[in-house]
Amino acid sequence: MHTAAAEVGQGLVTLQAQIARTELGVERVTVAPADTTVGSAGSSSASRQSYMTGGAVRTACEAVRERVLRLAGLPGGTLSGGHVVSGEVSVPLAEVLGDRTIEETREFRHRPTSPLDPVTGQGDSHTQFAFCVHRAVVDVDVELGLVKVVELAAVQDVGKILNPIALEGQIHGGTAQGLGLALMEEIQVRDGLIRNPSFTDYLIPTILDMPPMSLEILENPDPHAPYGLRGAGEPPTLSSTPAIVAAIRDACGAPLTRIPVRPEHILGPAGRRVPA
Amino acid sequence: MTKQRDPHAREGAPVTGRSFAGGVGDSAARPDGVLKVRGAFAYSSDLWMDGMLWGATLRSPHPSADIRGIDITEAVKLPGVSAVLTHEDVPGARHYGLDLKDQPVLAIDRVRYQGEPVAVVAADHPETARRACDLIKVDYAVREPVTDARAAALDPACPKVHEHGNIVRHQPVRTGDVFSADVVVTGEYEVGMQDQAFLGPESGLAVPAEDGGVDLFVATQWLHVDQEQIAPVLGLPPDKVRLTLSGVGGAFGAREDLSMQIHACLLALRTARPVKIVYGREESFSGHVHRHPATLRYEHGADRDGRLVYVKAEIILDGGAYCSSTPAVVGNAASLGAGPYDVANVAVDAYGVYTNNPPCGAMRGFGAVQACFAYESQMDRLAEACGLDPIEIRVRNALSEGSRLPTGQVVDMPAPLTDMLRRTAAFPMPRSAGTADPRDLPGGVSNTTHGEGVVRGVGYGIGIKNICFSEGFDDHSTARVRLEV
Repeated sequence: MHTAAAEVGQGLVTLQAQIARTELGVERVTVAPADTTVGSAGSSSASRQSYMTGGAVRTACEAVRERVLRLAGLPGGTLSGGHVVSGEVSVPLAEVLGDRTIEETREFRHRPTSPLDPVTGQGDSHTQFAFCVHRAVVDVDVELGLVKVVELAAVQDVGKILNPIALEGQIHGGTAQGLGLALMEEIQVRDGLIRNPSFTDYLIPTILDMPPMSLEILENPDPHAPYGLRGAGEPPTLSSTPAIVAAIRDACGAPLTRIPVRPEHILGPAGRRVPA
Repeated sequence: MTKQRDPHAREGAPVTGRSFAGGVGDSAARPDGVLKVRGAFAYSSDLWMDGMLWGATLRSPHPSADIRGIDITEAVKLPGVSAVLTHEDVPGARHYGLDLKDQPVLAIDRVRYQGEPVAVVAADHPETARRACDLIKVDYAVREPVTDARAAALDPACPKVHEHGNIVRHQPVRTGDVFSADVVVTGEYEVGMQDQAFLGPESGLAVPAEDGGVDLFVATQWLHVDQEQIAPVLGLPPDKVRLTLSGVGGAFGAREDLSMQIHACLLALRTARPVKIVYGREESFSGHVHRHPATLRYEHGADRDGRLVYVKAEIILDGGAYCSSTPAVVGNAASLGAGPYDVANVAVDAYGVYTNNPPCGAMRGFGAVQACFAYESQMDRLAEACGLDPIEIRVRNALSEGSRLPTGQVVDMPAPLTDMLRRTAAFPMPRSAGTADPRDLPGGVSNTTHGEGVVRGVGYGIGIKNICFSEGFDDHSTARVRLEV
């Protein structure tokens, strides 16, 4: 398996092998190092890689499979468990292949999108939409303006779960970054100068800040996408932040119009709030 | 080849064979998981080649200044230094960039942000390279920086950061014509500058090749877009600039723009030696783009039952000194600015502007994050004004499959938002406060409270994000698969 796709920690390197196992019915898959000797895989961003590189891997595997089935004389068959299978007939893949190598390269594209009109903003500009809902429960020390996020719960629709544990990791991680934006993370710039260029003063959430999460994952497939999948990495980064800020407002009554929320915002102009 | 009956098949049942574990839908283990947990995984900062040199970068201390001269004489004399390069040493194109090639490889006659690269050094030790940077004398004429993004967007008298003006992109969205309602809530919101804060610093190794090209090993998000920008600067055809992905320690958008790639290649080709560059943590904060800070002014109008009539919004995204992917961020904020709600009348103006603040670009959420904070805050204000709870106001307005977005695009895939909202509200509540462990309380181990002054709150949020690239971009991916025994 060879693509130029960047594994950045999200688990694409795992998924490429999973798709090959499912589509070709094999067990051992080697993912070659990503480099420019193969065509572009596009960016590891926009939550697009499972869709796009997953789609390319699947399409290339389908092409390989078709050649194997023709070789086996079983055009309507499938590949499963190391065998070529059709009806009652099952032939070991190794027997079909012999010492042949079957290699295919495929490009994969999503359906076309349109630009936005420069005046009206009208246009079918997006490929796919994904949604996430969060609930946040916080405890607020209203006398000091300090916050503890007690629990975060999320419901997300991913179309098809490709790798459950990797998916949970993406939702936990996106939620943590949303928590960071709500409460802790800000590059403080004054007169164009960065005042806190270090992890001493640019605070990222740790296990002490991030609470346990409850997750519910829905699978309503997108008919236009490979396996019906919906990109999953970014949606949790959106809804987590406003849920946390809404929870703090619920506790302390302050308007909180700026993120990250600071203790002085919670305390308000009087410098102190009296708990209800 | 023999065709045989499957011995595991039931009489008359279709033969399916036994599937292997680790396919689609399984929690297949990461191939690099154990290595990473054990600290044995090779990240790009671990790259090593015998005989390699170390590169370092001299950066501007000023957010805005003219460069009157650069004197490298003392730096070149330092023992151990093999090369000191400025813009004069760039063989090809002197600018690069994702959406617009407006960013100098090395500053030419101006610097536009604190941390902008001015010169690079290669030496036999990283500390020598850094000391050589300190010996480079740059004659700056400091200017007043442009730091107010709203002025950059709306005030024609605001000084220009670039000749072509301060507005990188203005994207309006207009639909419907009713902009009055019984219940109106307004709000002004601000989103601070978040950082991707990946743990693996910017790093890579450039190795000059015998064919006059260069092999670059680097942590990045998109090998080919890096290659497309590097090759013209080096004056080489793309097939002489070969990239291999090294171990990536997180990205979150910060590796979408180039950092040290061109610099390392320039030094490697000049010195005919492999050159490694690793940014320190403080340098890293200047070494990559950040999330666009934003100011958002919203007005929501609804009927007395809380049903949205209109949404108006002015969104200003501070793109900092260079363009990066600001146009695409503006496109997202504009098109998704009203949120996942059915609303017939929308007037959004989203701006991405130049300032002398740190450059901003891609970060997970990409323009939709900033808008989401604003529109969700607004929905809660609307709920309060209408006497509804936060779930109910959202259920009454949530879009669904078949809904038309303010851009006219129809949501042609499942969008079970009402179901998702109800399920979220139905999660059991966590155990109520009343714990003695300070780690469970605000302030944590600072021991600032034992429960006094602590009030619990609950809040909700929902977001809409676009997946994949947008606005007509011809996006694609490629895979090569080889099957053999």
